[in-house]
Amino acid sequence: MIHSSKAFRGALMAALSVAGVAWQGPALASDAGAFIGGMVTSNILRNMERRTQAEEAQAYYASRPAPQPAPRQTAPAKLTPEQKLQQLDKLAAGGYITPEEYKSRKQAILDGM
Amino acid sequence: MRFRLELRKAAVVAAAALVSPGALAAGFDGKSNLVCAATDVVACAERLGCMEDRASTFELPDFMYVDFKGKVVHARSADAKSKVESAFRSLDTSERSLVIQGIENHQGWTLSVDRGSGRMTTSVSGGPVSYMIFGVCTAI
Repeated sequence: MIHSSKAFRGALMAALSVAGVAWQGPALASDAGAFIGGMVTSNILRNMERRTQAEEAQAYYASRPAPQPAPRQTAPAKLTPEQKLQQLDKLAAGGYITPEEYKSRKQAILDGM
Repeated sequence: MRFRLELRKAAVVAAAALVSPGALAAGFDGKSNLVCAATDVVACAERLGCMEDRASTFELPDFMYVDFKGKVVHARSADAKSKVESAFRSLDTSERSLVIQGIENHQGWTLSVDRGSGRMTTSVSGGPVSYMIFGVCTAI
């Protein structure tokens, strides 16, 4: 039976990491010419480790939530001259603009009608 | 280069397939040397499970050779620059099988060849990972 659960992959990953360290001797021996117990074992171990890492990465990215699209910036609704004048009145009443500014802005709104 | 190796491997498989499955093929008697092509691997770690794939995925040599006179199984390294080999300690034959065994780097291994079909199974155990290599052999 070929296992593929995340728990299995994690456990195998840990075991292979330990095994990889423990297997340094034969890996070096393979360089010296050992075939079945050297090069073949090292290649299979390395491949299993590489594949397990790849599956871990794939599982990680698959489990991540898809990136949400940035909220769209909506353009402010175009105000009618009446609404603009009302806003202007509020700004003047609140003391945010001077009487001179109020007059000039109001005139500009009226001119634009 | 890779394509030519695949062709050669296919030729080994085809040559073995030509052998009548019912009859014992000449050459699987422990006297004629063998060339074997690995096709598939199943590798297992204790209590954790197994992985299986094509032998090429595990970067195994395309061919391995059994030299009965020299009592070794050998191949070229992945970069083909050096020769790697494993000595075997025993050779035995039965009516249906040819079996050689060895031990290397604390791992025991057994290479069995079906004398009728040439089908080969090599099992290796005792290390951090145990595995089986399936393939086919023909006499050379």
